[in-house]
Amino acid sequence: MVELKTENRPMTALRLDHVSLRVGKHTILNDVSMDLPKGRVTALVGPSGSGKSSLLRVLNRLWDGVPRVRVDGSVWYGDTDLYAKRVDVSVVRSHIGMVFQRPTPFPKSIFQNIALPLGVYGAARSEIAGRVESALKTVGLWDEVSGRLNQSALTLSGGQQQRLCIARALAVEPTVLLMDEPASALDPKSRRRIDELILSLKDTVTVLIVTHHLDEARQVSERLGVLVNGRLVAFGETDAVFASQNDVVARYLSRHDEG
Amino acid sequence: MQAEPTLKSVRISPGRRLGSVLWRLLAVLATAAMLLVLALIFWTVIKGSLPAWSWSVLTTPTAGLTGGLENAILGTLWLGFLTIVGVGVIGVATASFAVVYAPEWVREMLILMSDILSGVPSIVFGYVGYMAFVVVCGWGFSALAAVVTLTMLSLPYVVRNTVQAFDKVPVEIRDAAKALGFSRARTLWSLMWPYSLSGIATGAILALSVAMGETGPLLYTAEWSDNLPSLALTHHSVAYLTYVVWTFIQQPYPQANALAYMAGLLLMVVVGAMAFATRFRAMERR
Ligand SMILES: Nc1ncnc2c1ncn2[C@@H]1O[C@H](COP(=O)(O)OP(=O)(O)OP(=O)(O)O)[C@@H](O)[C@H]1O
Ligand SMILES: [Mg+2]
Repeated sequence: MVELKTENRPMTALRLDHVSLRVGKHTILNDVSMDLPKGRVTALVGPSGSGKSSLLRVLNRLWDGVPRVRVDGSVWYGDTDLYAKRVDVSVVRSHIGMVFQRPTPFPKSIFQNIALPLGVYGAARSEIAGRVESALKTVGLWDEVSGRLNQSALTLSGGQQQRLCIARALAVEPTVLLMDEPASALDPKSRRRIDELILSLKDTVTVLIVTHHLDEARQVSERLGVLVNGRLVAFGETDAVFASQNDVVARYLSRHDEG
Repeated sequence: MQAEPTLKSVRISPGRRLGSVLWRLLAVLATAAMLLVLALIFWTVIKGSLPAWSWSVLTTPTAGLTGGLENAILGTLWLGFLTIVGVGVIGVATASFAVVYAPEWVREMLILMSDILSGVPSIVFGYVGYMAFVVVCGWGFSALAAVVTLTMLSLPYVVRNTVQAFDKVPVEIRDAAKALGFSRARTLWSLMWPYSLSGIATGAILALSVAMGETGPLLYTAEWSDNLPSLALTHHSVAYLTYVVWTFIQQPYPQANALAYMAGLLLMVVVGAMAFATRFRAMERR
C-alpha cells in the first residue's frame, strides 16, 4: 500500500482498492476496485439490490456506527486512506458530499437548510448569506426562491427540494459528489434540469452518480461501472462499456435498452 | 378477459350488515358508559365540594382540618413545576442517549428498564424515596425528596414518548445530516429535538399529570404542612392537593369533606386541561 503514496496519480479523485462490504455474514460488495477521474462524471449502473447505494455509502463512511458492518480494503482520497485510523469522519464528509434518491430537506427554512451545514464547517457569519445565494444560483433555484428564503423547505416541489439538497451538498464545496439516483423520484423536466446541472459541475466537482436510466448514464458520464451482485463486472470509458461483448454486461445493458 | 362484475358481488351481505350494526351499537354503548362514569365522578365531586365554593379557598392555607387550600394548591404547582423540569431534562437526555448514541442492545435495555419502572406500584417509589432521600441523603421530608421520587416515577412516560417521536424522524433525513458531517450532538440539536418537540411535550405533560395525581409517594417524602411552600428544597415539608383528598375525606367533619372534594375537583380540572392541551396539539399536528 505504501507505494501508492509515491505513485500519486493527480488525475484520480477517489480510488477504491479491493473494497468489500459485509453486513453480518452477508457480503454486499465483493472486491470492488475503481478510480474516479478528477472533475469527471462516473456513472454506476446495475440491477436492483446489486449494491450501488451501499457502495456510495462506503465512500463517505456512512456505514460508520451501523452494527455488524465491516468494510475491507481501502478508499484512497489523494494519499489518505479514508478508512485509516485517526481520519476525521466529518472532514471526510465535507470533502465528499452526498445526494440521496429521495429529497431530504430538513424541516427548516430554505435558507437554514443550506446555512446549517455551512455553520457546521465554521463558515464565518458574514459570508453565509453570500454562499447560500451562490449555491442556490448554481442549481438554478435562486430565481424561484429568492423571495421566500424564510419559508419552510417542505413547501418546495419535489424537484425543487432535490435541487435544494444538491445546493446544500455543494455549498460546503466538496471535491467529490455522490449522487444516488438523484432524479428517479422526479418528473422528466426536473430530471433534465438535474442532468444539465451535473454536466455543469464538470471540472469543478468529481461526480459519482447511480442511475437506472442508461440514457442518462450515456449522456452525463465519461466513465461507467456496472455492478452486478456486489461485483464490478465492467468499468471503463462509457462508450467502451456500452460496446462491451462481455456476457453479463451486455445482457444487463441490452435488457435495459429494450425495457 | 375478466368476468363482468355483478352488483351482487358488490353488495354487502345481510349477515355482514347485521354484524356491523351490532359492533356499532356496542361501541356506542361503551362510549356512553364511559361518559356516564365521568359524569358521575364530576357530579359527586362538584356536589361534595359545594360548601367550599368561595374565593377564600384559594387564598387561605389549611388550618388543621379547616381553612382553605392555598398551601396545597401552591405546593402541587411547585412540585409539579420542579418535576416537569427534572423529568424533562432526564427523560429527554435518556431518550437521546438511547436513540442516538447507544448501541442497539443498550437502547433496548434502556427502554425495557423504563417499561419496568412504569410497572412498579407507586407506593414502592414512596418507600424507596423515603429510605433513600429522606433518610439516607438526609434531606428530611422535603420538596427535593418528593420531586426526585416523582421524577423516577414519571420518567417512563417521557422516555417512551420521546423515543417514539425520535423514531418518527425519517432515516433518510438522519442519513442526510450524517452525510453533511453533522456530529451526533448537532443532529440532536438541529434536527431530532425540533422535529420531536410536540412528542416530547406530550410525554412531559402526561408525566406531569401522573405525578400530580400521586398520593402514596408524597406521603412518604413530602409529608404535609399547613404552611405555604418555601423555596427551601430540603427539610421543609410541602402541602399538596392529593393529601387533602386522601385524609380530609376520612374525617367526620363536613367542612373537611368539602375541602377534600374541592381539592379533587381542582386536580381534575388541571389534569383535564393538560390532557386536553396534548390532545389538541395532536389534532393540530394532523
Ligand atoms: N443496512 C443494511 N443491512 C443489511 N443489508 C443491507 C443493508 N442495506 C442494504 N443491504 C443489502 O445490500 C444489498 C444491496 O443493497 P443496495 O441498496 O446497495 O442496492 P442498490 O443497488 O442500491 O439497489 P437499488 O437499485 O434498488 O437501489 C441488498 O441485498 C440489501 O438487502
Ligand atoms: Mg439504491
